[in-house]
Amino acid sequence: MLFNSLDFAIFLPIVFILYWFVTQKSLKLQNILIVVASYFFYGWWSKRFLALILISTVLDYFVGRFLSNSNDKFKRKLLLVASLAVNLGFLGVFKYFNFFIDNFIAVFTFFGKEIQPNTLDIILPVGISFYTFQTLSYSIDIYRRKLEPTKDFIAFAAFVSFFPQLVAGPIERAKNLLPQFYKKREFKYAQAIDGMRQILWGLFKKVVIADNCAQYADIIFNNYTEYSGGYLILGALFFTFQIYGDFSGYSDIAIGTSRLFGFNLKRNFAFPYFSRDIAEFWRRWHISLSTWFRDYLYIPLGGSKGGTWKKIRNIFIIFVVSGFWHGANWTFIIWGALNAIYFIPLLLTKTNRKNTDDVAQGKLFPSYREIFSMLSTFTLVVLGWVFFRSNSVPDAIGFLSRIFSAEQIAFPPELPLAIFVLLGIQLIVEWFQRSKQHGLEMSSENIPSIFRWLIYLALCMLIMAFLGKGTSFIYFQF
Amino acid sequence: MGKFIRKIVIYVSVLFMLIQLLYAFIPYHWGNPYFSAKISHLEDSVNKGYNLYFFGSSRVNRQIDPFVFDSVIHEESKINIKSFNLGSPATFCPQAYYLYEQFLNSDIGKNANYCLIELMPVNAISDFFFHQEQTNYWLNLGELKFIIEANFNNDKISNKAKKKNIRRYLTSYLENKFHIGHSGKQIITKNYYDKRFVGQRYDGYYPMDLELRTVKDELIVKHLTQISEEIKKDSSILNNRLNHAIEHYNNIADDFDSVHFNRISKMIENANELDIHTVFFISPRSSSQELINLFNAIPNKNKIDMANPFLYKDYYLLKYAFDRGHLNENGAQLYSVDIAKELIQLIEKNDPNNIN
Repeated sequence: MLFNSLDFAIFLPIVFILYWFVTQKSLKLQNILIVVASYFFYGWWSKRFLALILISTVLDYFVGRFLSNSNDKFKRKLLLVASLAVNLGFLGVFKYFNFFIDNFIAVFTFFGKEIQPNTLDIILPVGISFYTFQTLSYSIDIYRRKLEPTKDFIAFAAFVSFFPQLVAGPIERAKNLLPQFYKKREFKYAQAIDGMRQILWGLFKKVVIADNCAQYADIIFNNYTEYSGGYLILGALFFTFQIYGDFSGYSDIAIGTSRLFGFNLKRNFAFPYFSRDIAEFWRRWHISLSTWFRDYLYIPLGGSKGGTWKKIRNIFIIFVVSGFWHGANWTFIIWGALNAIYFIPLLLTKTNRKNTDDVAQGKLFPSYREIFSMLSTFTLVVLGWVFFRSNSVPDAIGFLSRIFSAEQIAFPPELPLAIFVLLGIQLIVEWFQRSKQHGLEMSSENIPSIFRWLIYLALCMLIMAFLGKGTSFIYFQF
Repeated sequence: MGKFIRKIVIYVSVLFMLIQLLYAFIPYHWGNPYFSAKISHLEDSVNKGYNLYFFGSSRVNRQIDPFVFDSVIHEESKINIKSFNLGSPATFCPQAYYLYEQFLNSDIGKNANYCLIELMPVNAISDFFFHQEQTNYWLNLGELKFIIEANFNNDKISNKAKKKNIRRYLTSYLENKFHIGHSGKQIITKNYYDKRFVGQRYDGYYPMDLELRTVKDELIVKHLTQISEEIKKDSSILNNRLNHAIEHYNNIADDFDSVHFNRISKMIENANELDIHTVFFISPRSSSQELINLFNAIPNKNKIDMANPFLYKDYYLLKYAFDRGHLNENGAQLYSVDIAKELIQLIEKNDPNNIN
């Protein structure tokens, strides 16, 4: 079920009413309702892949229990390996099988050996990368004795399948989310209202910004040889705002929806396009994934400790793996490697934590230096997105060469002005809200209710005008 | 909790009322960019003297050339006709009926003497068209009632298909009530009304070959090439359609959709009151047994038989086909001549007063 569909608009109030009016007296019942609603939510797309979630849930629940009951190192390791093998095995089969087979064949062909391709016609289960990482973190944390396993299977099943963040995150840690299933949730008016605002802003970013940018980005990227350099720059910019609107929009809706049910999810985006360097960008973009890789890959590899080469190696590994997590294509791997190249100079000069506060804190406008830093970081990010969006590496290189070849430079004769107006609204709102949790966070005391209502109505009308076809979120495929 | 729910209810109500108010002032055809482009053209040329209009889907838009049609009428009869093709892509039943009925009540419709309407089955919304503006902007309570009744009355489709149809139409109805997905394209697209479909002679005829020759959008070129190549590669496609049409005409029975028939009768009756002669026809290569049976039940003076494979076998020849469902330019010329001749016969038999 898509957040931007009429189905979800009907589903959400029904679950909300059942949750707060029918099951509110029993925590267990509320958790059962969440599990049922979550399975229904996922099954709306495909019933058969519910089995994967169920297998992951049962396996990691029991792995957790056995891990805590055992002190035998070998046995504990074996249990962890079982969890990793099954969860990563699902990922490997459904997401990466054809990629490895194709590349295997390509290598053999390169050396003159012809092999018959034997790829599978596999459908990628929506959100598999998200919920497998979530359950993996549970097993790893118990293995590291950083977390006590739960004895409540229903709570654990609700944690794994919690519908607001099931298919595209934020990737929650058991330490943060699981305890919230043990405690009685209370309805808090302010939290619910703020949740609704966050949902509204998320829908605006997805439906109004991302989907409209997507129309142009798709045309330009799919036919890049037909367009001049000016159009290609526009295409790259449209994709830059598409992916941000799409993914951060989803996260906002997920977090806002959770708040309606009394849950607090991790922040996943912190206005990343206002970053002053690439390290700051990665602290603000897809935070739940970056911190997952930091905690479960980068730090175990040694992190920033050790010699220069080790540091560089670790940075490359984390970025390349992160790229590969996004999809089984060399374009994602190169996107990851490119970001590693951006990041390494900051690490080596120990300036990667230079910008940990908000830009132009306490001021209305940024300084010239800050503007320059933001623009140069943004340009690097846009360059990376060309690889991320292109259908293949040669396409990405072709796309960039056309941008940078002098004879291709031509300003687009016809610009979709309405999109620029909408993008302008988004950027202005987010600039003024950059120290807040989301674009529409506001206190009732500061803004008169008539203005607040006008803002909500205007956003709602824009969202409804563009809603239509119910296009899915990009990150569902990861 | 009470305060929260109260606020949400008030908010949704205000939003709903505001939206209704805003959309109350837009024209009836705004959600169909092709039909709107044609109406907009007609509004700019009120005194052009059109008195015959064709309604229907792309099988009308792409296949009936008013220039050829009018020439035949003028050469072979003394009937005073000037026609305009109001057929539009993906305009199925009952949207075509809705547009026709609204058109009759509009200023442009006042000069109409004849309306030729493509007979189509009540459409089941496909995945592609589900949630699209053009699928729901016209879906008022009356149309929804007609669709649900026609759906329940049709014993040729399974209960599963009926449920799916009704669920999709109910969803579309709600989308229309809240104007979900409406007007976004108009905001973003500079030229929302697709004027290409008004045609080169500004008579509403836009053949598919012409589109393939002139359109620049790579995706459209790819799609049109693909569907036109398909029938060249597989000759059985057209043969099967011919065989099916022969089978349908050999098995005509009284078993037709009475709900649909009543709607047609009402349309004929209402048009008669406005002195408009309504004529139904089935486009070639689009017949089904239910449709032929329904067509057979329509009074003779309100129909012309264009899908009859015994009379018009040539429409199934590759040389007249663009794709499996549409005629090419040559086919359209032939078809426009035939439809004009059929209409002359019909008028001479039933409307002798309209002959100068």
